[in-house]
Amino acid sequence: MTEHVHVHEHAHPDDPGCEEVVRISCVRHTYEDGTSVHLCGMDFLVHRGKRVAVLGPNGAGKTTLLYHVLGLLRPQEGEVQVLGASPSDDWRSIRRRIGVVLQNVDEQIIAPTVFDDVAFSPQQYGLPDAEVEQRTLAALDLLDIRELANRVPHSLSGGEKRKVALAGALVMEPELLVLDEPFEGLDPRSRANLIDLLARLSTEKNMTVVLSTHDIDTVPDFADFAYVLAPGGSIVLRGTPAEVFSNADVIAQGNIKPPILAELFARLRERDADAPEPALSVQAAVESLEAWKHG
Amino acid sequence: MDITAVDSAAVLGTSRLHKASAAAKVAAFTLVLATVVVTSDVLVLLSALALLVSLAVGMGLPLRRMLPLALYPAVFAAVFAFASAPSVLSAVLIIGKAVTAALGGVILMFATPYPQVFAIVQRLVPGIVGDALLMTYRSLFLLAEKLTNLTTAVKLRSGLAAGQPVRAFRATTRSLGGLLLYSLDLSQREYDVLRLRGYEGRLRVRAIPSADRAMDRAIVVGAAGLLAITIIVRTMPAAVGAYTWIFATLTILTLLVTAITRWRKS
Repeated sequence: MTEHVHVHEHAHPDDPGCEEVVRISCVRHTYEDGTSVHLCGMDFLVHRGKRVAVLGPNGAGKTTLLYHVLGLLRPQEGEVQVLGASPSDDWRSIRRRIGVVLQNVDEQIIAPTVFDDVAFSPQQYGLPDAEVEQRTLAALDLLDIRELANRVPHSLSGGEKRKVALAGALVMEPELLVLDEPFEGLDPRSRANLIDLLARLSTEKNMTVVLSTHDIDTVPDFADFAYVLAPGGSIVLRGTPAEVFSNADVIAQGNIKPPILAELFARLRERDADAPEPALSVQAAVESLEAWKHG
Repeated sequence: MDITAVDSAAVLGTSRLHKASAAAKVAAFTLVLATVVVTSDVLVLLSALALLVSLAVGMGLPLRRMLPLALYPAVFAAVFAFASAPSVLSAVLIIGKAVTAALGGVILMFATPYPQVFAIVQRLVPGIVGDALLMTYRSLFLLAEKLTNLTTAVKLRSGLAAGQPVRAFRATTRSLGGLLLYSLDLSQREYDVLRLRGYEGRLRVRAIPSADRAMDRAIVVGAAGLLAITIIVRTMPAAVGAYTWIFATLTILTLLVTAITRWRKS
């Protein structure tokens, strides 16, 4: 298989200067119904402090990939390394360093109040009560949901539940944050806030973030790198968002519709060869189009 | 049954009973259960029932939601009573025991968050059993929601059409089968979540300290007093059996005074 890899001089997933946090090498998993996911084609690599998006159509294996990172699935073939350990064998040694928000947050919230739920992990790790409270309040403040502390989780809206689940994942200040479809059910403003928050955490705390998403338009704003999975799990493309979305043919192979700005610039270039290079943010697009307009 | 109402009442309630410690409430409930087991006097049993209703009314618990739950066991007890009770009084005793015990349990669950109750049970039973009880907490809500959605889906797809009992029966059994499979799948996912969030083979629950020690003492002493009276009546029926009506009258007066006070306050 041809690797559609585009190398940035200082910021590529293969950059040897960065510490490797996640590596998945040609992993195969066959579910009980016979569905097989073969995460192969190229290694899935994530380096410390990077924000990585996993893209692909339904059934491509995005959740399977994340479950391997979390040690919920044991590879039948291939190798998974997370923070230097095999997550399915040595989960205990790394679990405090990993925060998780699963796709169905309803199943992740398990305590009778929001405060108790966010406090769940530090309690299970046996931290002193004062530290549990301090960490819990800090996590609630980080998500700006302190006013929900005494609410009953099942009375919350979908977006609020997602924030509570994220607070529960951040309460242990993890080095690696794994998010399965985190933008689902969020209104545009909450989505933008979440992107800002993840970017801030990644920058300020050097937190590594891996997320799967269908929300292609958020990828340029959020991700340093993106991986594209084709049906069956093949990893067909990786690179920066600009690199990934400039590969229209491979993107189509992954049944992914590119971000609207990428599509706009692609069509402009079809009509006019002198049209500017694709810009993936609104600001960059405005500047690029103005420059083109003025010659 | 609206279990979210039970949960909300337990978590968000602000009465003095809510502020009492879970341990005191569980102890008091155990004493009430012992009373129900020991008594063979209808008036004593009705007194216990009146005291429980007084407690619920006095604390402003949602009695309208609680009574249907407490009356569920009466249906099964009535069948048993009809089949085996030698007299009307015995039948009343059988049904009364079921309702009193159930009301005690319902008051406990409406005034105490579920994990707090089972954190105490967890200390008394093997670890895996205690953890399993605690893990059922969220699963109950998820399954209730799933059942509601399934029922709606079946109705929308004409599975429960009036005048089609066979079709309705088939649709219901299929839905319940689906719910069973979902619950098995859910149990695995819930375990995965707990593992990801730090479960180490023994769930640690934060014990909420009592915010009303006087109430702790009051409910335990009250329940112990009730049991003591019951034992005295049971062991010395000739000496005190003729006077149980005084006790019953007093408890009913207590109920009336509590209800009137509450009504005037509201």
